[in-house]
Amino acid sequence: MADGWLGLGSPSALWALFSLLALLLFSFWRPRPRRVVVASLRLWSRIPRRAPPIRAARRPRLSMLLVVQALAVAALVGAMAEPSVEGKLAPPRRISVVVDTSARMGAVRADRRTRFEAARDRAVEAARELSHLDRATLFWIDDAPRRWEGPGTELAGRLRGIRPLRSRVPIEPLLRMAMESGDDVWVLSDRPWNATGRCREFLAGEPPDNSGVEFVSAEGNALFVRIVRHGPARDVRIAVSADGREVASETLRLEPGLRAWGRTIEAGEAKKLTVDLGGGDHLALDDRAVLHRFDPEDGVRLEGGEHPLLARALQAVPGVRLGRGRTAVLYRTLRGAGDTTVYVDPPGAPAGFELGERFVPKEWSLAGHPLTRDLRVEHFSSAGAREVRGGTPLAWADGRCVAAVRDRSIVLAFDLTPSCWPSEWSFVLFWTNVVDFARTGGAWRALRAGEPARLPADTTDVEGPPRNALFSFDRDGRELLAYDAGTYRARTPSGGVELAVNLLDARESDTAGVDRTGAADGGRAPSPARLPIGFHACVAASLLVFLSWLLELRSR
Amino acid sequence: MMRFDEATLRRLESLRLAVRRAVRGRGEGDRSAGRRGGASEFVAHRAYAPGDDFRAIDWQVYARLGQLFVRERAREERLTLHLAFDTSPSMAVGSPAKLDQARRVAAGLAAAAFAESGRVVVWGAGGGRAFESLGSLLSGLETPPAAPGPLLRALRLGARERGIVAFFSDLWDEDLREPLLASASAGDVAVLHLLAPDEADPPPLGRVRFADAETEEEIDRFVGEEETSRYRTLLAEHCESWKRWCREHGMSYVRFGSDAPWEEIVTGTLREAGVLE
Repeated sequence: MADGWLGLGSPSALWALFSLLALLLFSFWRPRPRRVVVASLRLWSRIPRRAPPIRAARRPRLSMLLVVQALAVAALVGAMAEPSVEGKLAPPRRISVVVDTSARMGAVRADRRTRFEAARDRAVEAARELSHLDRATLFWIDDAPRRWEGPGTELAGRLRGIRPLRSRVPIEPLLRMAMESGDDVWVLSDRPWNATGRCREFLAGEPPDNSGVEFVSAEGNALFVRIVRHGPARDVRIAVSADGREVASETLRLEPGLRAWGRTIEAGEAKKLTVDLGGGDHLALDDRAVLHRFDPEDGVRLEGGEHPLLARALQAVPGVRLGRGRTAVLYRTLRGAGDTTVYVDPPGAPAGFELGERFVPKEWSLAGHPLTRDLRVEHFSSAGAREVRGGTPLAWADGRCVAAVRDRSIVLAFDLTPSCWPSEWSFVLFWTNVVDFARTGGAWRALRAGEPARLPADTTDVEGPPRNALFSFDRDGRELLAYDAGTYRARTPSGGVELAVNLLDARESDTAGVDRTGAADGGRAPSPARLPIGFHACVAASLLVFLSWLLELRSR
Repeated sequence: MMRFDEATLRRLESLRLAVRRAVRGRGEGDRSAGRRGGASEFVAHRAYAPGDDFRAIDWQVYARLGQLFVRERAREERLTLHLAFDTSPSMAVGSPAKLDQARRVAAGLAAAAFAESGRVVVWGAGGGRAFESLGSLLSGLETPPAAPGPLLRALRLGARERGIVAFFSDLWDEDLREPLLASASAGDVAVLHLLAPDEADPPPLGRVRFADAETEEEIDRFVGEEETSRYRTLLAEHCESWKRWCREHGMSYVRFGSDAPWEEIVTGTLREAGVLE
């Protein structure tokens, strides 16, 4: 029944209007006479008693109270009938908002706001256009990917509760999810992303001015540093300290782009090497990098299939000494217990893993893990692979996990022999990553924010920096996953050791960014629709009930 | 306890209680009591009678007329104000309550009496209690309930000094006439008739059950415009009968509402009625 200007969703509810008759009948009802105490009955007793006038007894008292009560009942019945009127209504919007919480979003702009705050403020301003009928889905990452869904009017409040992290955050997976779930996608970042052509962008970059250490390594007395410079050329002082004692320094003229710097240093028995870039800029997190040297203990062992290029690849890894074991080829860096074992296309499932049926992989993808750092997915290929279940995925083929790591076991469940991968440079890089991942001692290691890191075997616990740092520590695997760059403390039976987690990431140091705000899409054109007014009827009924209560109170 | 502001007190002090006939007082105050034969202010001559004070003989008149005449003088006497309240349950009916209004007006009268060095006696169930100052009186106005008839009879018997008797009542009890007459021996009687607003002008109440505040007797009535009009007529007759009766017996009659400003009653209504001058 919605053809006319006023429509009713449940016209049968109008039968409830007969309750007005009950109200009318109640108005006939006369309560017992009111008792009035008087000083004397002398005069009243002389007034003849008479019955109330017939008209007063039989006619309902048409009082303001009765009228208001009747209106309240009518409004309630009207609300129950789900009334609606013709009008034009913009359909509710679905908006997915992706928030980049990377560390570089915490860089301070000239207006003293961080990039994150600038982008957020623009998005909050845009969110004011949303109504309670609009649905918003928010995607962001803190210690894990987060998702919130709610009315559009609550979006601004939610955005204000998000803070940037002190590590690199990949937002591509969030963007993919947002594309799938929302009609309109908003992106809060400081740079355009591949998928953001379809998005409304709230990008708060600024002309860059940042120098950062984006890679550091040391082998013996040789220190290698890679520095990235964004912005105009600038003189920057670089200093290296070993356990707090300065062992090298130099003022460099940094041109835009990458710059390598190396020195031979006398670190002695130092446990910590610190590389500092002076000068200061608006992102301080990459101005310092720290290397740690843990006690030697572990090595790397290869079990299973072998490839002719594997030996050459391993020989290319710094610090690897090649040898042979009794039952398998053993590549050991240094002697120690608890070696890391790499299973290459094993015939049976290693302990803790399950293997599926063999298949021919086509589409490859890689997980973000220290073992896959800097690998190129296009280098991967194989004639046959098997799905691996158990452990942390490292690589997928056709949506199935084909490489995984669990504790000290790494399984590559695909055949290397007919593969192109061993001939690519990323093959050598993988084994370098394996050695880096396995050895926790004997060499200098940098702990990176957002990536798992192995700690000494006797580590019992880890304390975060004295603020709300996000990190996890797996005691069994002695694996630390710190999302915040900063100083942590690893507890060991002999005391403890301070661990500096670095923001080593070229992408985070690149604060070039883009500063722009996408034009408003204007929502959708209003279309003829029936606008429900039941809520208004409910409000009117409530007001009338309150008014009748006041009238009743007054009459008393 | 009642409080008077400074302006009200000053206004009250400017009033005088009117005494329309001679009263017998014991102490001497500011008021000329009108009683002849005493010292002070000359009033008139009368023939000498055995027992008269020789000092009162006007020898100049004797020299002129050869007969003994005594100079009569009005003695300066102190006024006594007797306050009596009808404290029956009917006085508590109405809003504001009549008894509260009665106490306020009584306090105003007392203030005027104290202003001319008078004394005030408040009569209750246990007899009269004299007060010499307003401060002490205000705490003594709260007398315990007592039937008005016996109270007035006690006043007649217990009053040692004549003065002004102010009797506050709603006058619903016709049996009050006899004790009121008896109380006249204690001085000038002023009957102060109080009515609550709903008593003076009741609204149409519809169907009601009236309950007598004193007897708890109940009657059902329908009160419409017709009934309220009839009630007002009866009330007017009731008040008029009391007024006439008071006048016939030399008493003052003043009617006022329990909601009227008490200062106006003291300084206006009572003055117009001759209770205050």
